[in-house]
Amino acid sequence: MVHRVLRRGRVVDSQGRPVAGALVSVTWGTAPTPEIGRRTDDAGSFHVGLPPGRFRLQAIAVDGRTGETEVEGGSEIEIVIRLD
Amino acid sequence: MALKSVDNPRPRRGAFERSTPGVERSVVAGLPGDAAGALSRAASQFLVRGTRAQPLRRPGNPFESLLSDVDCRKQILETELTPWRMIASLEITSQHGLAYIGTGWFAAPRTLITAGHCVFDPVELGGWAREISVLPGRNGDEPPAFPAAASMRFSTTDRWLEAQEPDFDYAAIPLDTDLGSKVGTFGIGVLPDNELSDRLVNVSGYPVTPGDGKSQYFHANRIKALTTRRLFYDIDTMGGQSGSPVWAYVDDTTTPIVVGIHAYGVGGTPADLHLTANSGPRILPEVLDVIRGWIATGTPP
Repeated sequence: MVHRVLRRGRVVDSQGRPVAGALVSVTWGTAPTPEIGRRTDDAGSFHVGLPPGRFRLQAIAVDGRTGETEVEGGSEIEIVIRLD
Repeated sequence: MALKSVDNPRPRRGAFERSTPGVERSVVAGLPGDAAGALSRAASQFLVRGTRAQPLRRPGNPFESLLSDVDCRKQILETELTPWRMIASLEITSQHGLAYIGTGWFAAPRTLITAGHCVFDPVELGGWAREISVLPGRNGDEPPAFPAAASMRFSTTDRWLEAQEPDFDYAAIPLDTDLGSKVGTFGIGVLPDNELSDRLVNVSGYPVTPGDGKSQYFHANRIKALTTRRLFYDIDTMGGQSGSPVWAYVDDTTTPIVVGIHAYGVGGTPADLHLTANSGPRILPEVLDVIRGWIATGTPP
C-alpha cells in the first residue's frame, strides 16, 4: 500500500463541542484507503490513515447530523469535521 | 505463489509451498446452519445469479464509493435468516482504545473471515486490533437473534503484515464458540477468469451509514474487471463494509459461494485500469489454502 500517515481528527457540532459516537469514513479519494468505519470517542476524536492525495471525509452523528471536509493526505495537521 | 499465515500473539512460520498460482475451479461448500428459519424474501428478491455483459445500472459519479447519484443499497431486515445471518457486524478496538467498525463472514463454525485491515493496521489500529466483537445477523437495535462473541486472537498473511498490499488484504477471526454451526457458513470458491468475468455478485455488510454500523445493507451487480489478485465491481459500498463477502451462485445452486473479500472503494482502483469500481481481494488457490489453514487451526480436535 502507498505509505499512509496517521491523522488525528475531531468531530464537533456547530458550537465547536465534541460529538461522541459519530461515525467517520472516507467517501472519496485519489488513493487507496480501507473501507473501515471510525467511531469518535468521548472527546469527539478519531484516527485515520491517509496516503498522499486528496480525500473527502464524512461524519454522521447518532442523531443523523452530518458533516464533511476535504483534506490533503500525507500531512499531520489535525482534521476537524463540523456537523451541520 | 503461496501465502504464510501470521497470528497476532505468537507470530509463527508457515510452511506453504511456493508455486505459481493456478486458477482451476475449486469450490468448498458451506453449511446451512442449525438455526431455524423460513426462506428469506429478501434473498429471493434481491440476490443475483449468472452473468451479465452490462451492469445492472450504469455508474454515474466517478469518484464515490456510491457509484451513482443514487444509493442503490437495500436494507436487509431478515438478518436472522440465511444468508444474511452468516454475515457479522464487527466492533473493533484499536491499540489506542479507539473504536472502528467492519464486517466479517463465517467460513467455518469457529472462523470468520474479514479484511486484513480490520485486524491489523500499523497506522490506524496501532498494529493488531486489541479486541473485536462479532455480532452475527445484527439488525439495528433489535434484540439479537444470535449471541455475540469476542476475540483477541487474529490471523492474517505475511504479505499483509509486512507491506499492507491491497491484494493481500484479508484475515481471520477465530472464535472460541462454534457460532457458525448455528448461523451457517459460506462456501468459498476459486473460479477461473472466464467464470468470473461479468459474473453477477452480491455484497452485504454493515456500513457507517445508513444504520450507524448496526444495520445490514446489500447491493449487487456484475464483476466489472479482474486482475490477477483483485475483483472490481459496480457495487455500492461505504466505510464499515470492509470484510464483507463478495459472493456468487454457481452451477444453478442456491449455495452462496464467496469469490472475494470486499476491502476498498474507488480510490483503491489502480489508475492504469482506467475504471471506476469498488474492489476486494479475489479468492485464489493460495487464498483458499490459507483460509483452510485458519479453519483447521480454529477447529477443535
